[in-house]
Amino acid sequence: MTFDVEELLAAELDRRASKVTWHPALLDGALARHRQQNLRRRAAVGAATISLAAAVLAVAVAVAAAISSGRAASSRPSVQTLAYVVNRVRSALGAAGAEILEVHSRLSNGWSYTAWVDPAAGNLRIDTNPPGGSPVRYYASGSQVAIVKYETKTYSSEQVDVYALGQPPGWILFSLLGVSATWGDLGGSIPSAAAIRHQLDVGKFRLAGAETVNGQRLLHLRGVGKLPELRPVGGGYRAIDMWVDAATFLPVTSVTGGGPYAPRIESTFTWLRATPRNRAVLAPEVPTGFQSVSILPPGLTTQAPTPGDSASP
Amino acid sequence: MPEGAPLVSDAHQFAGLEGFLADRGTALLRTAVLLAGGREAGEDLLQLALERALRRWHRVDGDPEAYLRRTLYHLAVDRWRWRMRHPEVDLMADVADSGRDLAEQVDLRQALAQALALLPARQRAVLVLRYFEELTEAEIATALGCSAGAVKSAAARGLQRLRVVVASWEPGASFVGTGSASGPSAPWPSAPSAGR
Repeated sequence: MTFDVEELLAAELDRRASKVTWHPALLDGALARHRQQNLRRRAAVGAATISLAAAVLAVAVAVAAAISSGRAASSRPSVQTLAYVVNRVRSALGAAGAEILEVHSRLSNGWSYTAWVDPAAGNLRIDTNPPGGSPVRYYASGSQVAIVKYETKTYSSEQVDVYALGQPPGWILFSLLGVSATWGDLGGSIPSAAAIRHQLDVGKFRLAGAETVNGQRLLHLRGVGKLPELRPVGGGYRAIDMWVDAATFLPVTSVTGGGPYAPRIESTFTWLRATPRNRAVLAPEVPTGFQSVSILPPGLTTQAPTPGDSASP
Repeated sequence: MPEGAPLVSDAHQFAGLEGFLADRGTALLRTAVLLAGGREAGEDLLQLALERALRRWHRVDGDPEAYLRRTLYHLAVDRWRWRMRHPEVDLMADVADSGRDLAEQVDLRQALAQALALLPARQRAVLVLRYFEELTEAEIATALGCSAGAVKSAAARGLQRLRVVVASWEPGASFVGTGSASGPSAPWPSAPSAGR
């Protein structure tokens, strides 16, 4: 087996970088060191003329700077409140909104899928694995949807209605007419950075604790998310457990509790840069020899189904 | 004091800095981490670059990112030279993957990353700028303040060292590469013909 070292290198650099995000404490640290430097310079130049009050202030500021200076990782509050953690997660998700989110999910109904969500480009790819069946891949770019079915060795490319049924911002939900059963089996929607952020805004969460899993320090948020009305999948409230990286505050894994309308979903998240190479993963690929078909049965339009339509096939 | 908010006096003096970093901080930090070989070292590197930029903030005209990147690249090369003279420093100590990756047996990638960390300063910086930042040779030369020829030769020597690592890897070693479907790919399959 031969390896392309340049490809390997690029992929490894990308992978390592994807785990890193900016946090404001880094700026705080730099500002504190800057102030310390300024104080030292002023002290050296005008030591003889500093008044007693200024000297007391300089000591107070230096003490504060000493406490907050140093490596950014040590400048977190010693007690991380829920508000602090949620704020940091929201901030991290806001910064990650321009990135590509890769989601691996396992569902309690036997399905699993891997999805790539690129909200900035409006692209989505889902590789689904039905229980006991062959993979089906979905690609969406705006209102264009392509589906590749490995069992039948067919593919289709249609212009369908990409719609949101009163969804909160960021949920990417689209109806694949003719495959609504599949959509229901997938739990109804695929998360995005904005969608997860929205859950933090509308749901009720508490800080359940901190854990170290395989050497990674995680903060556990537990709560009830208010999920959108996902007709025909259903909706309402659902229990959510989310673990975020204690350093980057980006979600790492989640477990969404099942209910009468949706399966329990265990997901892991990877945040990728929106580079041309990573974006290319979402471009449709059709294996050689696959036949072009239509997913729309004759007579059906591309109108979105109205609320109340049944999910059952 | 609200968490994450700068001190009042700094907010005025460095107007726009917080917003700029909220926007571009992640990109800068990622480059810093890769140049430095680890998260802690990368954060230190970026903080140092920020501190230098703060001293000259009023003179940073127009493009703070370009200024910060230049500072970052030069500091990375300077610090790397210092570290290579003090080999007792474990350059990869903070680049360990999560247990999930170790469980996936990505030893080849790990070996590659370690080899990258041990490259001379300029070779490492050139490879990061080329394969992560995707800069051209001319852009890298400008960024590092050297000739295009020096960039070319540093890249070639760095890659050659990495090829030695890769070539010595046993066939059959597990490797997780970027997945791709078999067969040719097309941007979007053409719609099926009319008549359905």
